[in-house]
Amino acid sequence: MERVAREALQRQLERLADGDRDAFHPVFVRLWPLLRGFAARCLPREEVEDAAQEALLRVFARAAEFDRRRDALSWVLGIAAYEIRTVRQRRRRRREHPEHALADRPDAGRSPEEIAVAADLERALGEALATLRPADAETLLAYARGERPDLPGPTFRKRVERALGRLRSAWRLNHDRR
Amino acid sequence: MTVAEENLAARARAAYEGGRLRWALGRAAVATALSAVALIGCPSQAAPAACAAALGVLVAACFWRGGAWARGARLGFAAGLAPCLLPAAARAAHACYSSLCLAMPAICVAAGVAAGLLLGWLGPRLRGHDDRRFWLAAASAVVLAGATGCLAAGLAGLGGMALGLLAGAAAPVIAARAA
Repeated sequence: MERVAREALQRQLERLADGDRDAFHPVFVRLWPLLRGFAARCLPREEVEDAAQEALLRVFARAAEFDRRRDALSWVLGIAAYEIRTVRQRRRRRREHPEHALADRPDAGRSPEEIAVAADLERALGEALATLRPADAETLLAYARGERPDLPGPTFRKRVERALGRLRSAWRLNHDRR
Repeated sequence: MTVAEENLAARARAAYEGGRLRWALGRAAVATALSAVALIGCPSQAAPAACAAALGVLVAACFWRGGAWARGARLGFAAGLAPCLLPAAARAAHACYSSLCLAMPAICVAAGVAAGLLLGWLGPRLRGHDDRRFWLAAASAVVLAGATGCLAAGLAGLGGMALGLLAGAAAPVIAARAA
């Protein structure tokens, strides 16, 4: 951001913090593209818009707390960075607990073709799982069910990663054969 | 602006007003709690409690609105702390033993003078002091905060505080004109 634009943002945010409602529109027009660009640098495209909107709403909700001695741009980007971190954490949690992600998914009536493809994939996955060592299969099933065996977290994660690697290899092998 | 952006701007505006109101209510709660200290040991608490509640509402409204209103209310509340808390301090120091305390109106006059001096000296040095809304908010806040403390001494306490306030506020103005 250029120095002039940065100084303008500082002045406008100070006015907004002071309760001057006329400063709302200029701050909005300045911040929206800035936050969208910032989110685009840190998140995949499909999550940019939502994260930028959340960050923008949070900035405006906290505008009254803005301290004029602070740098406006750093303050805004600090809030945006926190929001982006929250989005990332939410995504990571969704990945760690896939059953939640499945439960959240709307039940769009699947076509017979989709059901057949899903059944095929399920069978192929079962075959690939069957080629794994029982310990690896158990680890993956426990992970899929969201269960945690009596192991330290990092050890369990490593086992899951190793088992997933072997599953991928088995999957590739089966599909190459076909 | 596109329709989506207009929609987002409306949500941002609502978030701003909501956040501002929460922020103002937090400050009003602190102001009310501080002025409620004046109720400790107060023989009749109803009227001072009503003043403390009214002060909370005033501070919340002024801080939510912002600008000259907020700056005036901040100064008025700070100045009003003297007449608000001095009578309670006098009671705590056992300067008064009964509900009828002859020293209390004098304490309220002195506290009013201190509050008036602070208003008259600091007010003209603050940003936005030439705005009528600034002085309206400051006067309302100082009277309500002072009344919370001085109403314990009855109408004599309230009148004493008002006289002291006027005298204290007039002194810096007269001094400035004379200079």
